Amino acid sequence: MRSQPGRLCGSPAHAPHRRAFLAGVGGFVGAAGLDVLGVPLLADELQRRHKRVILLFLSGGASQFETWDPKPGRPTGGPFQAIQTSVHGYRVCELMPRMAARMHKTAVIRSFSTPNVNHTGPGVEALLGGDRKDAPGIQMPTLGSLLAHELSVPGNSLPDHVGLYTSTQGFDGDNQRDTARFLGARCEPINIVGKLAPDGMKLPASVSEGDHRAREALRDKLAERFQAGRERDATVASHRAAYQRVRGTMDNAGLFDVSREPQKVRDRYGASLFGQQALVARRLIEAGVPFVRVNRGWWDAHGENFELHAALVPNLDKVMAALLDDLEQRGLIDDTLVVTFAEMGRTPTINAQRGRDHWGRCWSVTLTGCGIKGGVIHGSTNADGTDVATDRVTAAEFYATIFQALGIDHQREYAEPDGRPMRLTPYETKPVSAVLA
Amino acid sequence: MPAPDLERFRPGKAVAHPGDFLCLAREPDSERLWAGHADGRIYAIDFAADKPEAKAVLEGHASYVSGLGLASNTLVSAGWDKKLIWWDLQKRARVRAVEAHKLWIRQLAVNAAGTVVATVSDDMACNLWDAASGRLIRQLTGFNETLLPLDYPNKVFTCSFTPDGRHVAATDAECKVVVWEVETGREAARFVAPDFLFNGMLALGSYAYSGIRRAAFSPDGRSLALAGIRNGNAFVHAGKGMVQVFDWQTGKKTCEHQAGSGQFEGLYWHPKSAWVLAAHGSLCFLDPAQPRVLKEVKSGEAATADLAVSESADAVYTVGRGKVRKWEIPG
Repeated sequence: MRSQPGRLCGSPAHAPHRRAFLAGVGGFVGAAGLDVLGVPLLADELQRRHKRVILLFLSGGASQFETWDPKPGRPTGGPFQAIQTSVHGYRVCELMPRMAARMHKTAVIRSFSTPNVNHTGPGVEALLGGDRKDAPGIQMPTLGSLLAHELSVPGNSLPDHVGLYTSTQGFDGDNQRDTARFLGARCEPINIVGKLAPDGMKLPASVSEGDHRAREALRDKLAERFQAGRERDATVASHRAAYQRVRGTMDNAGLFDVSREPQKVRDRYGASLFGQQALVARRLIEAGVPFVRVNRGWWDAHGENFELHAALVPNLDKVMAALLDDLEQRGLIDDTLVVTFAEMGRTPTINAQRGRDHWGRCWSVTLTGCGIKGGVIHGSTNADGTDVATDRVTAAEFYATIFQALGIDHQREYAEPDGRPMRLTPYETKPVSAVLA
Repeated sequence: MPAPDLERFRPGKAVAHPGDFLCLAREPDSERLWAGHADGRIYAIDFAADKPEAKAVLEGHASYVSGLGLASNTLVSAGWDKKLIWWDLQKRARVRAVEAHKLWIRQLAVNAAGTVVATVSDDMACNLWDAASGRLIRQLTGFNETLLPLDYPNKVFTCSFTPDGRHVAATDAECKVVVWEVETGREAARFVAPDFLFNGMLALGSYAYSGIRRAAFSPDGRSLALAGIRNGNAFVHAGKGMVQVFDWQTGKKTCEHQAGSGQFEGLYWHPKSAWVLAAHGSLCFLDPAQPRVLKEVKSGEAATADLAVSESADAVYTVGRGKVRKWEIPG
């Protein structure tokens, strides 16, 4: 299913040597850890050749009214005012002053429209799979796994897919986890919940580093022998790769250690777990992890919507602005796509508990960085935010836009396990060209 | 003034109007009410009329009207637009508007003499204003700006004067209570009421929420009642409301009530301490000295967001979603 060379917006200057280079670098990084990226030329080479995605998933469903599509003064508007942004004529909720000053770098789709209004179940699975109405009954890989697969770099000892969750909401009871389905274990995420690093990064006291490497070498040798003659068996290959990935992750444990960052950088992200996880995400993608999801929960404000958003939105504003600034300052933003997304938005109606309930008819998502034209505000909702007014965008179109921004042909064909041909997005899906650079 | 017989407490006239009424002020010795609304307007309601109506007569706020208080013939209103507006009730006209805070004003209180107005805001200040001139007398601080380790902004929700006007109290999202001397601005006391803090998800970095929504001093000024909800969740209608009474000078809790339905958002301490009235889904008359509910009446279709009580405590007025209601105790 992996894209072939010649991706749509990949720089021709880099393409011929990309895999060979990264295969080498992956091994080097794997052996020496992230700190090799302190070598400017090496970091620069990585930065120029690697497409990556950070997904800020606002689990529980953030309100579009209190973020990207405010309606002050309307019965549905709530108490907050709107403030002018750096994009002429576009205003965001006053809870987002930092992003207001950076909107010329970000594209907003205010007319996103999806059928799902649940936190979990088939509706969420369908949404995360890109609303594949052309593939009824087939459980599709989710966005993160699709992108991990598409952006995976052979020879990279780091994981292709990491999920960082601020809380168990969205992970356990309310399951919105990414899943690779038939793409194989390599595209499954390493999920980290409520902390910054995965478990098991340190060896037990009874096992020395040398012992562990010797055992790993023996295991790999046996696995290699077992794999001989079974090269087409994805399960066998995936099993072997999984062990290699674990070892690679252990070798790069420092990636999850934000204390290695300068204090001023850490301060910009702030003390919240979400901020610290976003900083880990930046460290991971900088080192070569192609897809990182930072799952920020829990936005499900059926009661006291404005109190919850008065707490969480400034935090989102701070962390998102810090992340974008950091990516820009490190020269990563042009190859890194930052997406905000959720399982749904929130109702225009304010209920008797000063809450907003589940809503999919019209809400907002954002795209920043790689392949995106900043400052584009696409689509609109009506005066009270009860429906799309212009340029409705579906989940399939949104996914197509993401693929296209990353230089992946969203209509590229691949085969399901049963051999049935399938495109990355449904046939004739159009990306939102207005937001593409 | 003997306390009216609570057994005869009953609903009286009601006025329906769409949207959320959020706060209430009553003109002394009358049935004329002023109700602040989520549409930014202030409505006049006269329950002395045969068919009382809610008429929007004062317009000037760009967001929710969150607090109202009367100082002589002047009505002072506070809003989520960060403004304080003084209104001449005779002329029904704006006297002055002040950019009072950097962030949303949550509550407003006027001292008994009608000379000082207190406002609290998410900018973490309790501001004292000269009620006659609109001059800022002083800014009282003492709360943390941020809730660590969540890195969320803190909020100040409530403010209240002692009956003698010498002290003013405010509470924040960490359930801290700070009491200041009005005359000097000196901090007189501080304590924490942790039972109101919703921290179920705190460890997971998800959300922090304080359940203190109103404060009221006892007639002798020695005790402070805090009303809201126990640390259950952020659903304002879920569970029982909670009132805790503190000796504010020591921070010692002297009484606790869990009663009614939902987060208490209206609070009144009877001038003879016959009862404390806390209201949301129910109106609960509580014994201020011991955990005993003297009377509980359902609020009806509209949960109470604020309340006002007549001088003789024989009439209670409540506002909420789509409704302004009079409750009465016939003599």
